[in-house]
Amino acid sequence: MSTADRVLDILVNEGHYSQLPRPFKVGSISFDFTHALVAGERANDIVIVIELQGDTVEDGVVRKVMALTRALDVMRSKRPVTAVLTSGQPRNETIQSISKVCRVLPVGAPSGPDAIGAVRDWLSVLLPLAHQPAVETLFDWKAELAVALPISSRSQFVETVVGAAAQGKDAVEIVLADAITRSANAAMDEGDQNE
Amino acid sequence: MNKVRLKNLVIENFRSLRGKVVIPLDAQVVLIHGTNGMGKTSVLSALELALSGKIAHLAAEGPKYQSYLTTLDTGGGAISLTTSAPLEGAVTSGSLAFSDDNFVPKPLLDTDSARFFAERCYLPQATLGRLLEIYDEQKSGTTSSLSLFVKELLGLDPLDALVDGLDHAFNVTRVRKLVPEFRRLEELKASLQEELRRKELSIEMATKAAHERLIKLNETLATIVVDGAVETVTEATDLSQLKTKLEADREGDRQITDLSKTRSELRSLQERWVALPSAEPSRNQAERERVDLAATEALAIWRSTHGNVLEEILNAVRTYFSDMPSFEDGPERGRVEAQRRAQAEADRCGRLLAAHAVASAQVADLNATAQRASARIEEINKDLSGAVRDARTLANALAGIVPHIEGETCPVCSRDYSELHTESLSAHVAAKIASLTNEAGRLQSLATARAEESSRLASAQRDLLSATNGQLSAEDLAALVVRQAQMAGFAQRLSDLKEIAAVGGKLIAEAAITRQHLMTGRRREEQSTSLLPEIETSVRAVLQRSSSSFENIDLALSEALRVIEERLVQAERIAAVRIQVGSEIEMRVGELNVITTQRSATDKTLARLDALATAFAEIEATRGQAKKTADAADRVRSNIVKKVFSTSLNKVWRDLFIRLAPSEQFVPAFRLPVDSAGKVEAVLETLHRSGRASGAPGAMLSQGNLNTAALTLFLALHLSVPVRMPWLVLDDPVQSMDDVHIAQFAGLLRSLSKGMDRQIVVAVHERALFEYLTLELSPAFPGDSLITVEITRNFNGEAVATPRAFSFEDDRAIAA
Repeated sequence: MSTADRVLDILVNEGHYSQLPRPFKVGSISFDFTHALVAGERANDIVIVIELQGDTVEDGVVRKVMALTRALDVMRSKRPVTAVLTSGQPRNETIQSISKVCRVLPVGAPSGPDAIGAVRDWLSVLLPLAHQPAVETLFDWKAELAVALPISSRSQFVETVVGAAAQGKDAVEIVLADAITRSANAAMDEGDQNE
Repeated sequence: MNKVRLKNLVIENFRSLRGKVVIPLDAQVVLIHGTNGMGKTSVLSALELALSGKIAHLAAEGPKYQSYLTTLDTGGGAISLTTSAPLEGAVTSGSLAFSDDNFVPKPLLDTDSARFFAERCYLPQATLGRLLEIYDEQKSGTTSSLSLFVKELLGLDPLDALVDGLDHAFNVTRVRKLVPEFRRLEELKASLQEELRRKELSIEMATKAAHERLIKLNETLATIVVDGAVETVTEATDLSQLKTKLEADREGDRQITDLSKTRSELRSLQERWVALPSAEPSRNQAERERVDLAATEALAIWRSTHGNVLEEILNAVRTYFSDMPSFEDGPERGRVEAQRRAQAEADRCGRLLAAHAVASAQVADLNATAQRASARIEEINKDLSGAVRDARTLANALAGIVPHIEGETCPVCSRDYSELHTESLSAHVAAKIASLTNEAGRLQSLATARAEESSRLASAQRDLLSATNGQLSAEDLAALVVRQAQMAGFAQRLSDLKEIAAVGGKLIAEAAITRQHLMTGRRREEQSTSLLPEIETSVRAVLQRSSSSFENIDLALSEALRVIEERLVQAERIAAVRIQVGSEIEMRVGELNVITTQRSATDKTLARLDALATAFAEIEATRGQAKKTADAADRVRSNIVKKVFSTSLNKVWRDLFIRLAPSEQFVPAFRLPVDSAGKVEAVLETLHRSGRASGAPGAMLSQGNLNTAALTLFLALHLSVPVRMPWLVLDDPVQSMDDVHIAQFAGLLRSLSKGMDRQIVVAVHERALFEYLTLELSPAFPGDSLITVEITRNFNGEAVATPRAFSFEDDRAIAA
């Protein structure tokens, strides 16, 4: 799978973008890019994927992007444009030129074990933010505490203390103090009775 | 999610915003633009003040900023903010009134929410620059910003409560402080141990003493013999039995009694022997009898002659003086006394008679005087009775009339005096007055004489009375005269008998002495006759030999006494030893008792110490459990924190950072080393894309990406905590970003606003960026909204806010 196809795949599957026909029209003018997509429900981005191949004329790419944005302006469209450049390494002038009219993501052709991750990193700005699970659901401190406490050390006292934890530090101190006081008093009372 | 939106902000004379500006905020995204110095930041500060009542990053250095809020020369201003719905309680508006010396905030949020807003929702430029520093600061304790964040994020209070509350268990001192009973228990233990030590010491001492007592007892026992054998005592000996045995043996006591008795008998014999009258060997009893007879005879002869005379006289005298010594008391003594008494009586009678004579003479004199005085008074009385008593008064009256006499006419009867006499009336009256005056003088002298005589008479009569008392009656006088003569006679005769009495006295004395000698001789004879057999018996009983074998009785007696003394001393010694043994046995028994008692007391103490040891073991167990629980809680807390950091915060941060800097190879992250105390301390580091840890962000990232890191950290923190208010207020966050980053940032803002439903308020100073963001953030779906506000100034220098609102328009440029 080429990087351009990977981009398409990620945007469609993870970003809920929809692919535009090739070529697609702005007004009456046709535009032809490697891929072209528009965002789904809550956004109106246009993403064009341009694969820089050996025979690609970069000036032509710049012109094509300029033409697209110009056409959108003419149409009073407010769609933000993102150009994703894949495969070949673009010239700096190209990126600078394009970035004056749209967002440029020079993805290139990442390789290696995390190539897909690298592509996704580049595209993440176009992807929705992952909703983080509410932190409360991340953990259940009582359960974890139960796991962390060796079975040998579970006792009535530990249960009581853990039960009091929700009421705060003072409640815990009182439970601790009570337990010690009880032991101490028991010994001292016994002594008193003996005497 | 809470859909409350900030709605409207009205600002008047606040800092660089002179005059009144109204900023509509009721849109999903609000973009505020103004060139530098126009007051973008002021708008956001005003928003913060209305929400929280303070500017957090300035308030950290004190409230002084409050006096610089007013636009110069305007005298005061106000801020008011409304929200679309109440966020908490019923409050939908907040306000602030201020002037140079006044600051009256009525914030919309309560203190806690205000802090949340300031930390999680509002990123002023000042904070953006320092954010990484703030979160990388290694503070001790639980107050570092990151710790607060973690606490707030995770709500680890129960675990904190466990760790902090059980922390006491780790330290005995703090256990003592927490539980006063524990201290008392420890003190009790110490005191019981001390008591035990003391008791053991006393047992040891008692054992030692008992042992020494045993040795001493045996030594003592060795000196006496009981039932023909020397007793020995061992540890096993029944002491009470031995004591009974020793006490039962009364032989010694009886012996002592007998010896004492014998000794006192001997002593009394000796005393009596010594007390015998000394013998006069020259005269025997018959001679004494004869002498005695002679003396008695001589005395009888004297008595019948001279003695008789003397006795008669003495008896005669005794009839007058009953307390006289009798003749038997000694003739001379009786005679002397009688003579003295008779003489004294004669003298007394003489004195009385003399006094009587004097008194009689005086009475005669006084009677004469009284008689004469009475006669004279009688004469004077006769003289006076004839005289005119009131001669002087009449003379005075006449003298008073004299001035009234004119001529010869009497002023009293008005008669003419010349008819009666030839002399003048005045002369007549004067002569009469003179005569009356002389008569008065004579009468006065008579009265004086009479008073003198009366006084003399009274005195004589008084003296007469006492003189009469001094006289004797006729009977007494006669008796006294006779008595004086008798007494004088007795005295004379007794004086003559002096020599005879002396002879009689001598004879009586001699007779008494010879009689005495005679009696003594007789008694001695009687006594020695009775004493000798007794002495003989006693001495023989003691010495087994006759007293006659000694040179004399004295020697025999003293020898017997000596022997008895020796025996007594011996017997007493043995008795003393017995008593000593008895008392030593008693003491040993006492000591053994002490040992027994102390042993049982020691057992009790040991039992109590056992109980205490159990309690301490229990407490130790409780502490152990507490420690384990605290450790476990700490571990769980660390794990949760780690998990949250690695699975949540770092993930979000990375996601955000990558969005803004997709080409950056180093991604900032929190690392969570566990220090030696088991405490989790987050530090900032960077991770290479490959996952390898690298240096701190400051060392690895460009300035622009550091800014990006800070911004994304803020956003990550914002996204990690539960949403309390869905607002994100950013003040020019893109200052050192290049175009690429800005485009990325715009995309991120869009995601936050449209994907995460945050109401976003962003201030930017760059025109192009403003335009670009306006485009990028324009409403993308129905209901989405955008407001842009441009802050400028008019020619008066007053701030002008120009709002524009954008709503969704279906984009038809591309048929999607």
